[in-house]
Amino acid sequence: MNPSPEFLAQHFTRFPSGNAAPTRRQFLQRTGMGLGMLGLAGLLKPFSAGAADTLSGTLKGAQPMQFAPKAKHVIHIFLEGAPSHLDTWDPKPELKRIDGQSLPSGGGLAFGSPFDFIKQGQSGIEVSSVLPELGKMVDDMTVIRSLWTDIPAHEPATVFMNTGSLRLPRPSMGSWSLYGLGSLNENLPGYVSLRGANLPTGATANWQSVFLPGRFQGTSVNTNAGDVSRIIENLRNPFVSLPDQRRQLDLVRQLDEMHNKALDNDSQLEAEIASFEMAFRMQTEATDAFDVSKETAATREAYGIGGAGSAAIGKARGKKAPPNPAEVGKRLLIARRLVERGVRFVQVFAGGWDMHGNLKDSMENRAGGIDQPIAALLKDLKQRGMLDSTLVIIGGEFGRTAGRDRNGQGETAGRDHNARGFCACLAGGGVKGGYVHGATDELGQAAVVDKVHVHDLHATVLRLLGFDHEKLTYRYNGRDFRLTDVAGKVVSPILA
Amino acid sequence: MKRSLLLFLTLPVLTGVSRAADIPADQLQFFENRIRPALVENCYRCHSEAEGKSKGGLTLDTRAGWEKGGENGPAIVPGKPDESRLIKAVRHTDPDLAMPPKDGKLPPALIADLEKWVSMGAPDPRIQPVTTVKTGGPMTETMKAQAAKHWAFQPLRKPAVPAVTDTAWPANDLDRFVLARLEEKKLAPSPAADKRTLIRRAALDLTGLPPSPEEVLAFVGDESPQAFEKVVDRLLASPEYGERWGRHWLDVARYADTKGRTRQRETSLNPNAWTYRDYVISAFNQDKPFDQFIREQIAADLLPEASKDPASLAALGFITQGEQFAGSRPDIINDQIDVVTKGFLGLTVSCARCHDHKFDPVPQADYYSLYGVFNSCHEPDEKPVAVAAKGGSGTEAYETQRAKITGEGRQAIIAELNRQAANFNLNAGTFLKIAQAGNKTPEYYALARDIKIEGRVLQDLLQTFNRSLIIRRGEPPSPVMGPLKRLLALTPETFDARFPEWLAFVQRGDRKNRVNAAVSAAFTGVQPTTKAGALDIYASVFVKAEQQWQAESDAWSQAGGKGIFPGLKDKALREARNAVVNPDEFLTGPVGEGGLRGLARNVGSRVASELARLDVSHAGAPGLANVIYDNGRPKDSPIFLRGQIQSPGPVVPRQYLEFLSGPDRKPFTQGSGRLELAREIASPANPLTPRVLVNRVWLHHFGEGFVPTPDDLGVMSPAPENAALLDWLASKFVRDGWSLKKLHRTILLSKTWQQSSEPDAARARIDPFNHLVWRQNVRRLDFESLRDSILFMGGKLDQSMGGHPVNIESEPYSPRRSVYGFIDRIEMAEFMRSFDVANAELTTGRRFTSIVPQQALFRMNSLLVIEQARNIMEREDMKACTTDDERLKKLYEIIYQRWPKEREIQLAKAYIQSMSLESPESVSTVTQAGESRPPDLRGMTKKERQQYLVREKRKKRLEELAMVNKKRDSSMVKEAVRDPSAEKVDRSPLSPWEKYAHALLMTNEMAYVN
Repeated sequence: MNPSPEFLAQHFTRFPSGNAAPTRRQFLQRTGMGLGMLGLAGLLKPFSAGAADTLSGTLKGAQPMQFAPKAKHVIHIFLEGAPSHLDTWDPKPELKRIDGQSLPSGGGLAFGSPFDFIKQGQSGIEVSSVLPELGKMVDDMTVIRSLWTDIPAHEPATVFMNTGSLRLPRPSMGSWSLYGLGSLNENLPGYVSLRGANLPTGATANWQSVFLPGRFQGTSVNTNAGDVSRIIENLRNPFVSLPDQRRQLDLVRQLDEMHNKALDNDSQLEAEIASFEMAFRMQTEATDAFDVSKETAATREAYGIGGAGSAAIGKARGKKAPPNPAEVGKRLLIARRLVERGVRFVQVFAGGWDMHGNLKDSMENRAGGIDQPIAALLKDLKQRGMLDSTLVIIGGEFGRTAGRDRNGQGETAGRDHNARGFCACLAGGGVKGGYVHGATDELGQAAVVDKVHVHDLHATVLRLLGFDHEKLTYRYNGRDFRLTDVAGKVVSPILA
Repeated sequence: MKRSLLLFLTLPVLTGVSRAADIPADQLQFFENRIRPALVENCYRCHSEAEGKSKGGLTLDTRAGWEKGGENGPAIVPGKPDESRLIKAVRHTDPDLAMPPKDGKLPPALIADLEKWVSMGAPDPRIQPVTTVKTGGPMTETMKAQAAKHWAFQPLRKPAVPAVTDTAWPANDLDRFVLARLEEKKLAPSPAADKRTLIRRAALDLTGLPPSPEEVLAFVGDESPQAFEKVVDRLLASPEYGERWGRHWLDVARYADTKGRTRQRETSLNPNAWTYRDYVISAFNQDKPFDQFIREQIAADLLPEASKDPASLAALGFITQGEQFAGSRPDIINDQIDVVTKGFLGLTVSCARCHDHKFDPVPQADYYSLYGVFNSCHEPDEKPVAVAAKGGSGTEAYETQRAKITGEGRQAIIAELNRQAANFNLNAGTFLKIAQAGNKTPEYYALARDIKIEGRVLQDLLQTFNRSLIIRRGEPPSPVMGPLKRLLALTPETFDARFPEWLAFVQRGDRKNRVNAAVSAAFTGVQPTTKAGALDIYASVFVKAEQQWQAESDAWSQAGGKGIFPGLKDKALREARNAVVNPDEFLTGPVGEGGLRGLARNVGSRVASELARLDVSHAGAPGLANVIYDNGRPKDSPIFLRGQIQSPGPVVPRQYLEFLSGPDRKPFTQGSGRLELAREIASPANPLTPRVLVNRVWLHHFGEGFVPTPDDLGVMSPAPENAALLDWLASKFVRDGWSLKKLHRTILLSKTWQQSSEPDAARARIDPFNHLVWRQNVRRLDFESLRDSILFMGGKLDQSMGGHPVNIESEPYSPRRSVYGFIDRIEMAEFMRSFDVANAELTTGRRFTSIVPQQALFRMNSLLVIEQARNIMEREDMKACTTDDERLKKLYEIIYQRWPKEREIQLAKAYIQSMSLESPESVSTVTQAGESRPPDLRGMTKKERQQYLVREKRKKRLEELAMVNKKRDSSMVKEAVRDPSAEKVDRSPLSPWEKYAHALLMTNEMAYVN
């Protein structure tokens, strides 16, 4: 059997290290440098948000789109540890009614949510009282109440939510998105993953590109590292000033151009020259993008950053400040700054949701740490006119049981793992606002109406970005791989 | 005539072909859920275009199939079930038109579905026939045809060397194969590269290091015809050859120093992985015949040679060092099948895990034949020594340290278990009531709340308690728990009647059941009237035993007892005290792994991690072989339907792949069959193994293989360039005794390899991708070669070989070769990732060569690279230069292995002059960005200093004591594997010359091979 032309094209665009000269366009796409070859002068122009749109005309996406794209960027806020759907987005009065009794289907004693649910917004969607600020944003969100996944264990489920694969290493959703969309800003990685000092469960599997070329890999950043210059390695030269380094690089460029001329302007060598120029510019631009101190005090405060911000949240909630809204707030604010600069996919990890016991207090604390910051992000995006083109996903890896976990009772009760039903919220980027999709049974134990599997969610995200999830494929070792493996169905009702 | 009429009639329908997108969602869903499966299961066997089955001319696997219909016309009239032949057939009303035939009538519900579907208008999205995926059987006819047809599966024959017109050019037969193709296209090969290019290319190709200026001069000055041959032989004989080519193989073998995702609490560290790495390097250096290399990596333990060479056992790391998938056996075995078949055979057999391979002739049954082999093996707890400890004081220090951790660990585990024993014994009353109440009842929860123990610990204790009540077959019942179990079994109804009998038993026991004396004593002279009363008495035994233990233990430590309290003197009390939680189990034996189970697992896990960190880093530690052994009783595996272990299908024998075995395939008979499998793979008759290997070697010598997918030479891989040459080299390779070094020689001594890499527009027009190899390719240095070269130029590369891995990712930087750098499978260092270092999760026969700015940042700003610029200027041969011209010449020799051109000299001088004019302010010393400097203790008051030190100490202690956390574990590992010889870099300002040298290290010419 002869290989298909696409197959050959893909293998040869893997940048053979030889000088199997690719076409200029292939080359530009492959190096993810778009403008690189258009002249070094162009590179030195400052990049602005406005430029992103003119760029998108020429960089319409590395892969052909099947649909008009609704979202150009994604911010995936991953609530690691599996937040309880029953205490946040999925009200279950019946469960409350039978609180403390044996669950009819087994599963121990019923655990009615200790929180009230409040009708919010024009749509009147009920949201738990632990999310007062985020609740006010429901008119901009679709709440999916019928998600389900395969395995109720943190590691496989987390990796599954982020890659569509339980155990085998597969490219992450962000890698696929960037592979599909192409990069908008060659001075920053197109896919950034923001986390604290610890890696989330599943570690780098959550943002890997695996067999997709390395530039589609998420650049994982510890936003708690403090110093902006630690966020990307080797971002500054400790011994030479920028003007000094500029002169050094000018020399390098002159030497390279002589070398390159002898090799007939080999495109790979050109790419190297461009990458040094980009690296030089990244030194200031990346620093800037990750530096939230460039925001106004009011903005920082809204996101919960800084003593004043935390205190403000605490005050509004009538208690002492919840734990570290600043950490998540900082990540969210960086996410906005990155999206503003053309970054396609930002993953934001916010953990601490594995509440087997003491759910009431833990939930108040955790929810308190994200409620205002996420609401602030949505408002901020909206105000800047970015929400329409930015899809925000909020959710964890699975849900929790309707019954009390283990021996916990009363104030110490918690919930166990449950893969059969949970929630995710989607906002902006072409999804309906004020809309609830699907439902769990009356006790919230399993999704029953309009069930949405994780593969379906992935298919829907790609759809919003303009892709048919079955067509965004990559051939590796003789097989076409895709984010949704062999499954996935677009959840059309949530498309605006 | 009839047929053409039919075609005509069906045309209007064809134009209305419905594609999935045009069919309403509910109808499509109905089709997919009900109709497609029914057709697949009941009809495709005889009516499928994809399978080439069309009984009566009818196919039913596309819409067009039933529209065209069979010999008697269309099978379906959309909207009209009664007029549709298909519906008539399934109704079995007409015996001449009854389908499925004979007794095969479908269930009524299915018939109703089909009727409903036709009434809907028979919405059908099937345009293309799709091969249905079958499982369980041997090779299908299609597979057999593939096996017979695909080039790579055909026996390897030595092709005839083609005739060429230009007989003067070829240096060997390899060249004749290349030239023949060039001449066909009227192309001439490129001229030979100049000598300095040639020696640089050869050195980097074979050793990953540039030649030294002296070596270049010697070669350029050697005018003998054998000059280059001498260079090649010298390079092949150098130990650096194994470090470079071993690394290529490590990519295939998915080598890492960590295991990836391990079971909860199990350290991810693979402290002995390096023994495999050293084995590989040494195998390449020895030019171990590749067939032997294969056999050792699959079955070294089963080879007769193994007893003579224990180091060869380390070869089995090839099988065992993969990702651990949180301990999931099926996934681990899948990884093992994957690395063996991709690595040696260039076959993606793991694609046949859930169904027959979609492209290659590998039925699912073959996958499970191999699965049976690897599932009949295990990794033993005790591993043999592959690399003996060095001995002397280093090893003594290691042994001491290990004993210390073990001893402390033992103490910590026992202390933890003593706490748990107290938790149980002192709360025994409640625990016994809980046992009485039954699991997870409301009383259970109410009672559990009374015990003031953290929930998780309580849960574990309850489990341990339940387990202690189990009587295991073949073991005498516990003298403490046995009678308790009998007591618990009494119900309120039977209590009065049977209690006296129990009481009598508990006081004396019987022939088979001894009763603990303390228990007997407690029930002597008492007459409880209720079961609760009896349980209270029983509980008092545990309480008393614990109180006694605590009293004696306190007295013992007050009397100066050190280490572990030896336990109660009274044997009966001791037995009662340890009946549920028994710390004595850990008084002897290994602690690390054992501690991973049970109540002290957090502590055990910390101990195991500490031991692993010691093993991976201590120079005095021996290197163990990560072996795999056959199980005593090997077992065939069932086929797991859809790859799911919950759905076992037919059992298949352990045997080799069907299409590579020929007609007389025999199941493996020796143990697991690993050795037989190894022999099949390493057989000279194997068509794939030599081709796959030669392709890999060619890829690394030219930057492109005959086949661009080195891990897949299956049906989906592109046809090879110059297949005849590949076969010729592969057959020569086998005839040369599977010698890699001979293969390298053949390639490097060819005119083909020695061609210049200069571009040529005319040739490029005819062959833009250089498929015909009319020139050598310009290639980029991989990560290892780049880093090693820069260190080598600075004169600081530590070329010592082998041993424990070292941290090369952070300061102080190890100056050792990159192949010895510690590789964390999950958290690979960012800068290594950005340089496309092979992902250790998968076989990587070919790395990506991406160009990303992080690579430039590394060369621009990393302390390691800048330090080498300083080191270059500090070299003796640099310092010996007296003029700028000499300096420049020397620099160019070191970095580019040539002398500067006039223009380059001008640029250099201008740059250095401009830098020298800089005001000193523009050059500043800065600490490493983001570096947290320890505070200056001298500037502190005594109190501040004390506070600071106490704080630091506590911080450190807390770190040590922290519960096991893999993420922390990983950073501690990186700390542990620091190279003790590494130094912190200089932080003083750079001189103009150092900046200039640094600039040269950033140029393309330095990072590319011409």
